Amino acid sequence: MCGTLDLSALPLDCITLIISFTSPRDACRLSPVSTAFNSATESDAVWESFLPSQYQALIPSSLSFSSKKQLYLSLCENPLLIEAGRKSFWMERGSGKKCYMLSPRDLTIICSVDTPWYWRWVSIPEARFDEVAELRLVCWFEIRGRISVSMLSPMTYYKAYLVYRVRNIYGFQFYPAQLSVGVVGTEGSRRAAYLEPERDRIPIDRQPIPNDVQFPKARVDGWLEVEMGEFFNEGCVDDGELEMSALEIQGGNEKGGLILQGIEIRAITPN
Amino acid sequence: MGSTSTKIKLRTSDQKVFEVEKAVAVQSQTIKYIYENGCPDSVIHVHSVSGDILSKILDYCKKHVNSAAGKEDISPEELYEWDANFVKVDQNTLFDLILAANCLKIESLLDLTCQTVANMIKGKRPEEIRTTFNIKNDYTIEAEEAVRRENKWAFDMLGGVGTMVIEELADDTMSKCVTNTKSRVCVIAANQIVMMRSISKLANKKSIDVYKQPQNPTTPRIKESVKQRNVGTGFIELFFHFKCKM
Repeated sequence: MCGTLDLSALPLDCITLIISFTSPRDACRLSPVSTAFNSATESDAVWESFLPSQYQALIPSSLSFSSKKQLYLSLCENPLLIEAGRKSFWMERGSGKKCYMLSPRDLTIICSVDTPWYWRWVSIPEARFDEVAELRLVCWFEIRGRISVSMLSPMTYYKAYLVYRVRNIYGFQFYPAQLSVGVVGTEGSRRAAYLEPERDRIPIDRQPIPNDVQFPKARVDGWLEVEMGEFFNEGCVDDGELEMSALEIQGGNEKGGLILQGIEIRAITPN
Repeated sequence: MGSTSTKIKLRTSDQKVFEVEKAVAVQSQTIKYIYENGCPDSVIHVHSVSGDILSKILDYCKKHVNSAAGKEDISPEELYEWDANFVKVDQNTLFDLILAANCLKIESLLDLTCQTVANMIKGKRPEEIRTTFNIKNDYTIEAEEAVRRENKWAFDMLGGVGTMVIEELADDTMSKCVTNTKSRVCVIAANQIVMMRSISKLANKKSIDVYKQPQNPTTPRIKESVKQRNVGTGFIELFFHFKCKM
């Protein structure tokens, strides 16, 4: 549709409304179009529309920002601790969709309560949370996390990841972990992954390894992750809770040597 | 004197007079305000709107009032298809509709028309936007460079889930995309007939859910089965994994 009319001839309110119907990424791509567009795309009105509702409650009062755009970018680049440090929150930069990481204290980890012989709580500088869970030894590996679907952005495709690192990992090379993501009471999506990062350690009798069994991938922040499953949030009225679980209970053998940072739920969005 | 037959007279910038049912006219918050605070029998001047545009706007208002009141048997899906067709106009008309909806304060129409323009912007590079809307680039080279650098992240194309807003798509292009598809939700803007043939190819692959994206952002999405032939106009969203160059 080739036009003869200059878009920047519309009133600023209308331009702001139009831009707010695109996405944060599109808004930034509009800045170089013309100087008039730049003032529209830099405006607080546009970036306010990309912020989540009740965002004011999330920002620590000690921080101030020169513009709503800076605030938006900060919420994307610097995850915030919420719920007394139990969760970490940020937004996916291109789309503004909400993402979370559940700390180990927010998860149900079997055999982690009361005794430090199986799992114990440690503080390490590279972690996002004050405390992370170190697995020393279990036979029954089970981790579950839940998040209310209403905390997620509507009409968004999400994936969940188990985020951890290894320190003298052992016992995870015999069976892949069974991972799943789904709304409580529904089928959900499933994945299988070896938590053991070294392919060579997988015994010969388990090979060839099926294509759909993953291995952990390295993350930018230095931790490892395995995909637990996917979920498309329609954002309907009946919300419910999303449950993510990781189990390795097939092999009754002893396993240990990993440090769990948490479960990450992040938005997967188009470019 | 039943309130159902109350009429309001409107005079446009080009001196055309329209007599409209009150329920339809007060979809415009501006007209509503003037009517409630002025003399009920006098003619309301809508200075900034021409006869042609007002006529279209009144069609819109009437359709929406009738559907909300249940006077017309039209499903939400049919209504937003109607809306989608309503905004299939040339750019000049679209802009006039935006200006008029803004001036007359008709929120749903303003949202609809602005969303239409937004859809023309999404996913485009600055050069393409300038061409589409005939915008003059008034930056100096250095200034434009600086702005691009500041927003560099928005121009980096990542691999992973991508969306293509596909204006026109040949069948073989679509099937190439499908072989990389892991996901099930679709976005395609398109020539309806081309898409339908392509979508029927998708039906042979893993299960695919096709969601129609309404022009009006407040309308809930409606999930379509791929097998249906009458998906209709407007966008259908597609997420799939691929790497591409910007």
